Amino acid sequence: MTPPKLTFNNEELTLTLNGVGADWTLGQFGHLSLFDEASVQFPSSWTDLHIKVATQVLQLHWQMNAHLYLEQSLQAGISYSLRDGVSGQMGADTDLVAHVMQRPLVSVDALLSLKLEGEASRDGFSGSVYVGPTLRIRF
Amino acid sequence: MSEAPESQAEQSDDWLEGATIEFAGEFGESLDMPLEGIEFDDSDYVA
Repeated sequence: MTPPKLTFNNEELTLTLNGVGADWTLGQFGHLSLFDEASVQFPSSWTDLHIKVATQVLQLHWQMNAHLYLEQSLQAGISYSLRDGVSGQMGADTDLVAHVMQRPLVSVDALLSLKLEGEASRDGFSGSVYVGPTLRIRF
Repeated sequence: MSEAPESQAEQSDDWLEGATIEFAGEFGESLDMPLEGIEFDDSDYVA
């Protein structure tokens, strides 16, 4: 008999975080309990079991990879708006990325686009995950 | 587009104070992960 399996077909899950992060640093964001802190939009086709599996898989994956994802996103480039009104875009070198990751924040607005593709069963989840973070940070 | 701050981290505390930054990324990877505390039964079959 085939064991019970649950399929995920790249349905998009979005998490919205508004105004969180006071006194946090970006480097601590892996400790953020996403599904407690965020407003979550689950795909309408998902069952309660889909939600349980996705919540566990994505929270653990975020904990393990948030630091790397945020560093690499910063390295790809940032848009900035300074207190004197100057704005623009720039690449971020290694030192700046490290500094931004460690600097205390005033607030963060974030949108996380998440997708799972694969199967879940008693043996676990097997497949692939997509994470698309978009962040707006005020220092 | 305005000119970016020149010395980046060396002046970070000065120019980041009161600043807002925005950035984004896209990441995808294969994943195999055990699940804990989730009960599957025969009614959960999904073809």
